[in-house]
Amino acid sequence: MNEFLAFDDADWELASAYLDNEVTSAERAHVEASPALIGLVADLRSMQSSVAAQAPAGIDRDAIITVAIAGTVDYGVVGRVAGSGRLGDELEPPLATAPVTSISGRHTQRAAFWKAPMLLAAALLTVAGIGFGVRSGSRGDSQKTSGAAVSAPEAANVTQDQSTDFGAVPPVGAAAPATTAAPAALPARTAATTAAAAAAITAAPAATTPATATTAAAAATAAISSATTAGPAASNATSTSPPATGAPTTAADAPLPLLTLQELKDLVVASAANPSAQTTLVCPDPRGVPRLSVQILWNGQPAIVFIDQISQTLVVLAVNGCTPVANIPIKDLAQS
Amino acid sequence: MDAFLRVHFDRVFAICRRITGNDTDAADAAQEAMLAIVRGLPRFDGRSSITTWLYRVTTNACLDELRRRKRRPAVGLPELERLDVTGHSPAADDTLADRLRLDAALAALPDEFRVPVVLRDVGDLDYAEIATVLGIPPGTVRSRIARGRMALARALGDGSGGVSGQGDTRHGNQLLPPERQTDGS
Repeated sequence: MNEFLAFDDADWELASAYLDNEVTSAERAHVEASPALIGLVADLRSMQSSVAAQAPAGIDRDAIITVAIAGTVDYGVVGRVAGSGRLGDELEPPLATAPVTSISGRHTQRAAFWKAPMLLAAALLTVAGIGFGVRSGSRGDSQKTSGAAVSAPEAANVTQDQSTDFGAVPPVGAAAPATTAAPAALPARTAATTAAAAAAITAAPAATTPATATTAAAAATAAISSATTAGPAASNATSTSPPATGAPTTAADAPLPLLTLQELKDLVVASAANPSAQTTLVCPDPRGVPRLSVQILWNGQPAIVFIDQISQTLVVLAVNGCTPVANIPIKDLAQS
Repeated sequence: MDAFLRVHFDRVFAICRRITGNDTDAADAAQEAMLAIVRGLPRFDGRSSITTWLYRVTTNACLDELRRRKRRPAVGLPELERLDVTGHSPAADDTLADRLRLDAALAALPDEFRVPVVLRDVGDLDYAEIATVLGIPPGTVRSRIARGRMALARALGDGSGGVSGQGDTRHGNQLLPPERQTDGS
């Protein structure tokens, strides 16, 4: 490529168009009559090949395609988190003290965008006097039928009775803002559905069947094994207690279990034994390890959850853009 | 849907890689493009070919990613940090150096020149398709591709010790000459 300066702009355009077979017959004849232009075309062809050729990329195309489909089809969501087991703590993800090791630094910085709304949500939760903390100590008791009201009006616009632990969520693909989630209430808490259920949104927990599992982990395991049978039961789901906002509750509200972080972690652990219950989301990762995880709605936002074994943290990533929204040390969960 | 995405993914990602200039942003853009394709396919009206529409979605996803990148602070090192530079032969080093030089030259191109070049050379779209994807006249596509390639060649020439571009001061040593208006023919 030593003769470039000998050509003017018109020559460049002509040679470039000739290379792309985008010339008229007159232009073609002009180029082919000029050895210099033919030489330029040859140089451009070489450069074109270089541009087209690329080194192998360290990405998992299958995972990206899977996520693209999962992110737009209403399946795979096993539950939702509209707050935290400990009020305020998880709403302000401890990113500063426990960096998400599975994602690149710039993605960690992106998380800063989430802090403000999450803090706001935490503040509003506090004002509303919502007792997530009450739930955190007794989530394993799925037989519980009464308790303090649980709602996250600003975080997820969910208002519900403690005895019902369910709330309507938008389809994962809709990525609806948290404030648009319609309130709903259902009478019983059952095991979560899993990603294996091809229509988990509609496969809501059975409305009249309280879960019998005595621990959240057991409940999650049971849910995985019974996900496909939960659907029919859910189709008849009705609310036995009206939502606090007075909005009607219908089966179309597609309720999902409201999970504490401890339950969420147990669910992730349980799903590890069931590959079909997992979702893979590939985010930029220096180790190039796809994350097998479960899908949830985190404050109304489609997200996945996985356990980072190296940092021993429960990591929540927004599906759209791999944005980290929470990173909770597992040891903290054990203490809560 | 799954099969459709698999057929087109490699090219989508290759385009994203060349437009964004690195694997990280390319993966993000490709994922956004895949999501947009899945969501938008039911509404595809058939006014253009499916591949043209697909590359329009991809290009938009890449440009969105570039805009996001400009808004956020740069963190860490570029892709170079992930290159294993040990144990390479001189030939491999040359190849690597050439590739890095080409990457840098492409990255230095303004978007309006880089995108049509990538769509042509990586996406294998013809000028009319690129014009549809970018919403510009085919004549402008032809001009921009030529100017993009000219700038690339000059940049590569500078880097290899060949043509320095010193003799061409018509445009104030800018990589690219001012774009000539075309009639869109």
